[in-house]
Amino acid sequence: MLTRRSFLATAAASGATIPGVTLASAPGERRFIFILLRGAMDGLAAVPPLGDPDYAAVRGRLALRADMGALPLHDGFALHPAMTEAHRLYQSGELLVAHAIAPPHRTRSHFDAQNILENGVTRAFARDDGWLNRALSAIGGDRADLGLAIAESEPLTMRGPAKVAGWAPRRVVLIPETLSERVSAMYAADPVLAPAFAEGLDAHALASANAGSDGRMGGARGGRALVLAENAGLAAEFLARSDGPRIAMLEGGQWDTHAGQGVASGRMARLLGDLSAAFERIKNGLGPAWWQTVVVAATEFGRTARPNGALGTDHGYGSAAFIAGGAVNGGKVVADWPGMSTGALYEGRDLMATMDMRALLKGVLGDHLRVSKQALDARVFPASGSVRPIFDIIRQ
Amino acid sequence: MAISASIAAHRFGLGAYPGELQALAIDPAGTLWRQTQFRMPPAGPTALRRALAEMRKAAGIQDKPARQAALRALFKDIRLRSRSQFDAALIAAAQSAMPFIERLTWFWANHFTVSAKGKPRVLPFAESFVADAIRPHVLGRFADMLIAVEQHPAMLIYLDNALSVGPGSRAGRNRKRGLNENLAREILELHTVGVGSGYSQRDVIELARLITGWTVPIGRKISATTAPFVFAANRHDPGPKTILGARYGDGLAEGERALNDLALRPETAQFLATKLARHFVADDPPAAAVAHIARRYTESGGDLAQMAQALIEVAADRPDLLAPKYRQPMDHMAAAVRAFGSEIVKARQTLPSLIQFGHAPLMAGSPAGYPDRTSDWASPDAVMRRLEWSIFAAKRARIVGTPEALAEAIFGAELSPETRFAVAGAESPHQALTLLLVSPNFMWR
Repeated sequence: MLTRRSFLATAAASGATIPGVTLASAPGERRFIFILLRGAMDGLAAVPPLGDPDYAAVRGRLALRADMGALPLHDGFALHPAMTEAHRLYQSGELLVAHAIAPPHRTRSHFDAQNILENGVTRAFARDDGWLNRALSAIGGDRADLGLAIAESEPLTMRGPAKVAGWAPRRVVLIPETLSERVSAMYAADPVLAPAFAEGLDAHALASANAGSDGRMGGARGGRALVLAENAGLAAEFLARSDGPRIAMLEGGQWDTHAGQGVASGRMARLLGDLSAAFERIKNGLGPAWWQTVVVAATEFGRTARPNGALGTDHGYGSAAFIAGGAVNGGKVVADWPGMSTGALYEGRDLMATMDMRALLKGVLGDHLRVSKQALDARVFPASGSVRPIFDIIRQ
Repeated sequence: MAISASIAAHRFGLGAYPGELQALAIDPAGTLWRQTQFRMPPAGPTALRRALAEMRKAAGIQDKPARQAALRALFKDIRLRSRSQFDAALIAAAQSAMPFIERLTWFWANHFTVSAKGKPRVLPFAESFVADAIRPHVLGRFADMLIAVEQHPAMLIYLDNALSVGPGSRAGRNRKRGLNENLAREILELHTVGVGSGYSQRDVIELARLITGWTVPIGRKISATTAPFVFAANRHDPGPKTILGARYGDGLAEGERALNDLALRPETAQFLATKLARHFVADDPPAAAVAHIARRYTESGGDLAQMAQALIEVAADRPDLLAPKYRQPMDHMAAAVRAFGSEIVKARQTLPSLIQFGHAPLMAGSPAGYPDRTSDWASPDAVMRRLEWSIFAAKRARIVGTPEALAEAIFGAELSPETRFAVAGAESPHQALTLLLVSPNFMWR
C-alpha cells in the first residue's frame, strides 16, 4: 500500500555545497548528461504506481499488472517490463526515480512546455538561452570544450553564451585542410558561420579521432532500433575522454503516444526499452568515469491518467524522471505522491505534479556539479529562490 | 516598387540559374506579382485513390501477422518509390518557372505539417497531401485550404482524428472508445489562432467533439467515385458546442463552419502573417511587416494570393525591414540544382540526404513542422554537414567556364568580396565549386 511520503527535505544553504570549491576546479572529472524526452513521456506507463488503490481502475485497459513482468521498485512503484537495464541499475543503487514531477507550467502545449523545461524559467519563449548553458557558464569559466549537444540542431537547453559543440552520429567525411582553411577565411566576417564552423571543425576533429577505420559512428547495431541508445553511446565515447567534454545533452522523440501505445509490449515498450538501453550504453561507454557521472532523463509533461478512445493517452501534467549514474544515491523512488483518485488528479484527468523539475535539476547541479546556491537561484534558474533543491540524490 | 533581382530570385524564389538575374532585372517585383495571378488547378484523384486502395488491401487482411507484414512491405515499397519521386519533385521545383509559388507551397505544407516519423500509416497519403490539400489552395482562400487539410486522410491519421469517437455518439455508447483531442488541439494551437491566443482546454474539447466522425474510408469498398473523406455520423458527438464563444450544432457542415470562422479570426490573421513574415522577411519579423500582411489577409477574407502580394509590397516598399535569412537544407539543395543543374544531386539520394540534414519533407518531428530561424539550422554540426554534402555535390557538377564567372552569373552585384576571393583562389575547380556552395552568398538569401 502506497503512503503519501515526503522526501522533499531541503538542502541547507551551506550543507549541500562544499565551501571552498572554486569555480575553476569544477567540474573536474564529474560528468553530467541531460536527456530530453520530447513529446511527453507517459510517466504512469514508465513507472506504474501498482500500489495505488486507484491505479488499475483509472488506467483501465492501459493498466499494467504485476503478472505482466512489471519490475518492482520500492513503495508500490514498478518499472515498465521493457526497462530491464534500468532496473538492474536501480537494484545496484545507480538509478533513482522521481515521480509526479513537471516543469513549472500548467500548459498542455508541447512547444510551450518544452520551451519552459529548456529555458529554465516559468514562462515560454521568455528567454533565448537555456539552463544547462547557463550552468556551463557558472562552472566552466572560459573552458570552451565543456559542453556537447548530440542533436540535429542545437537545443534551447544548450543555447546561450557558453560555447557548446554540436554533433550527431554519422560517417565522418575527410575535410582537407586546404579546404577548411579557405572556408574559415571566407567565413571570417560572418557572425553566424564563422563561430559555427570553428566549433564544427573542432568536433569533427574529435570524431575523426574516435571513429573506426570505416569512419562509422553510431548507426544501427543488432536487430532493435535503439536510436536514443546509439546516441547515448556516442555521447559516452566523447565524455569518456580525459580531455573531452564533461556535460552533454541528448534528445529522444516519438513520446507523443496518442494512439495504440500498448501495455507490456508495443510502441511504449520500444521507446522505454530504448531509454533503458541508453543508460546501460552510457555506463559501458564511460568505463570508470561512470562513477563520477549523473544522467537525468526528463520530459515536458505527462499524459492523461485514463486511456483515450484510441488506447493512447492525451497531453497531461505530472510525469516521471530518471536519475542514473554511479554518483547517484539511487535505489529509491522520490515522490510526494498525490494519488490517482478523481479528486486527486489535476483537473480530474492528469496525474498531479507535486515536484518542480527545477528542484530536481538544482539538486543535481548543486550537489554533483557544485554550482553555487546563489548561481542556481539567480542565474541558472532565474528567480527560483523559493524552489528548494531536492536533497540527497547524489552520493556525498 | 523596388525589389532587387537578387531578392526576387534568392529570397522569394529558389535561387538563380546562371544569367537569371539579368533576365529578372527588367522587372523583379512584376515577375513575382505575375506568379500570384495564377489559379492553381485542382489535382487529379489518382494519387489519393491509389493510396486508399493500397492501404485497404494491406489493412484489410484478417490474419494479424500477415496484415502487419503486408503493411510493413507496403511502407518499405513506398519509401523506396518515394526516393526516386522526390528526386524528380525537387528537380522540378528547383527549375520551376514559378519558384515563388513553389516556396509558398513548401511554406504552407510546413505550416500544416503531417509526418510519417513514428507514424508510417501516414506514408501512403503523403504525396496526395501536398498535391490535393495544399497546392490547389496556395493562391486561394485559407479557409478552403484549412478544410481540405483537416479532411485529408494524411492529417486525420497523423493527428488521430480518424480514431476519435464522440462519447455521446451511437458508436461511443456501444463501444469503449472515446474522444481524441489531438487534431482539435493542433488546429487551434498550430493551424489557426495559434498558441497563446486565449483559447482554453474547454475550447479544445468542444472542437474535438465537433469534428468527431471526420475519418478515413479505409475498410470500405473503394471505387472510382469513393470520396477520400468520410463523415461517420454514428461517431459524431451530439449536442451544442461552444468554441471561442461561437455556438455550433451537429453535423459535418457545422464543423466546416467552425473552421471557416477560425480562419477569419483576427488572431489567425496575426499568427499566419507572423509566420509568413518570419519565413520571407526576417527571423524576428518587424511589427510593420506583420501588420501590413495581416491587414490584407483580413480585408480580403483570408485570400492567400493577396497575402502573398502584401508580402511583395513589404519587400518593395520597406526593403529596410528585410534581414538576412539563412537557407534551410532543402532550399540550399534546390538552389544548387537551379544554379548548377540536376547532375549535382545523386539519384535516389536527395531524400536520404535531407533526412541526414533533419529537413526531409513529411518527416518533421512534431506537428509544429520545421522551425524557421537561423539558430535552428546554423549549428556547428549543420554547417559541417552542409560542407560535407557540398564536397560530394561539387564533384558531380559539370563546370562550364571559370568558377568565378559562374559565381558572378548567379549572384551578380551581390557577390561578396569574401566569396569572390575564396572562389578565385581555390586550388582546383572542384574546390572552387565546393567553396561557392558553402559561401556566405549561397548560405544566406
